[in-house]
Amino acid sequence: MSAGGCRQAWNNAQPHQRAPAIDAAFPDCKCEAHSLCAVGGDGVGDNELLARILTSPTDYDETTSTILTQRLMHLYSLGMSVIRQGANDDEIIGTIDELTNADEPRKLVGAVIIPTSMIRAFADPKRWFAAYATDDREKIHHVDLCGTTPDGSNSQVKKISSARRYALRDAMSAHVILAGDAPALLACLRAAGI
Amino acid sequence: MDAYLPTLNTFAPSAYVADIGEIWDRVHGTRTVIYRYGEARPTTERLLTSSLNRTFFFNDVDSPELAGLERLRSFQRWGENWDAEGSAAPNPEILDAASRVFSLLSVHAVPQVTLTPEGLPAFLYEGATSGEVIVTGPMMIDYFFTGDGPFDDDVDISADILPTALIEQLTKLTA
Repeated sequence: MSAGGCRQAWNNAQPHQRAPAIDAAFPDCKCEAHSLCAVGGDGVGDNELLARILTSPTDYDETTSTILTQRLMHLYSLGMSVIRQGANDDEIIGTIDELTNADEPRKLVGAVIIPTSMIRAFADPKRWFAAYATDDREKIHHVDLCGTTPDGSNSQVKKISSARRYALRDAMSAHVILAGDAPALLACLRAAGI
Repeated sequence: MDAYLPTLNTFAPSAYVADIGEIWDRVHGTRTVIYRYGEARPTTERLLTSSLNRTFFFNDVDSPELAGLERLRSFQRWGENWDAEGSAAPNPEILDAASRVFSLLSVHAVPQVTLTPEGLPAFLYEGATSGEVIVTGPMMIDYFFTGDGPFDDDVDISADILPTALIEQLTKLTA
C-alpha cells in the first residue's frame, strides 16, 4: 500500500463510489497515512482540526438548533468535504461562497469544528470513518470524511451506515459555532485554530 | 409535475397541486379532499360541490405536506452539483414517483425532504428514533430506522401500499 496506490484508488473510483471503493481497496483506513492530493503531502494528523461549514436549511435546523443528517450522507458516497486546519482565507471564503450559491438555496449558519481524533474514535473495534487528505480543485487544505463499509447484507449495511451517520451527528452537535456571514465565520474559525 | 396527496380513508389520489401557491384544481375519485394552501393560512373546512355533483369536504390547513411537495418540485430545477459538493442531478422519473411516496408517508408522519448525493429523493425522520426512506427507482424504496427500527431495501410499492413494518414505525413516531 503506497501513496500512489491510494491516490489511484481514489481518483479511479466513480465519484459517488469513492468512499466504498477506497475502503474496499485499502480496508482499515490504511490510506489515511498518505495524502491523496495531487501535490502530495502528509496524511491528516490526529490533532489537526477540521471544519464543516453549516448552511440552512439542509445542514442545520435553526428552529431546533440541531445538525441535520442529510448532508452527512456524503460520508458513504463522494466523501464529506471538510476544511483542513491551515486553509488560507481564499480556501475558506471560496468554500462558503460555493455552498451559499448552489442551485439549492442555502444560507450560512456557521460551522462544526472537530479534531480528527474524534472522527477516528468511532470504532467497534473496526473504524467507522476515515479522514483522507484530499484536494478539491485549487483547495488543498481539504479533507474527505468517508464511512467505512460495515459487514452484513446489503440492507444491514445501509441500516448500520445510517445509524453511524446519526451517531456522528450527535457527536458533532457539541462543536457548533454560529456565524451568519463569511467574515464573521472566518474570524471564528481562525480563533478556534483552523 | 403534478403531485397528489392520498386521503386517510382511501389512499387514493385526491388532489393535484398545479403549481406553487396555486390552489389545487383537479379532483379525482374520493369523497374527502385535503385541500391545502401555503403556510400561515387559517385552517377551515368547507363543504363544496364539484362540477360532477359530487360532495367534497375541503380542509384549508397549514401544510408541511405542501411544503414538502414544493421542495420536491424544486428539485426539478436542480442540475449536477446542485449542492456545490458534487451531488448528482435528480432523475425526473424518480422525482415523480417520489411525490407519490411522500404522499403515502405523509398520511402517517410528514418527513423532511432531501436528495442523496446520488440524486435520489430521500425522506428523513429525525427524533428519538431516526430513519429514512429513499426512493431508489419508480415506486421502489429502501427504508432504515435506528435502534430496533425496521429496515429493508428494494421494496416495491407500486400498489401504493407501504410495508406494514414501516407504517407501524411511522405510527410510533406520531404516537
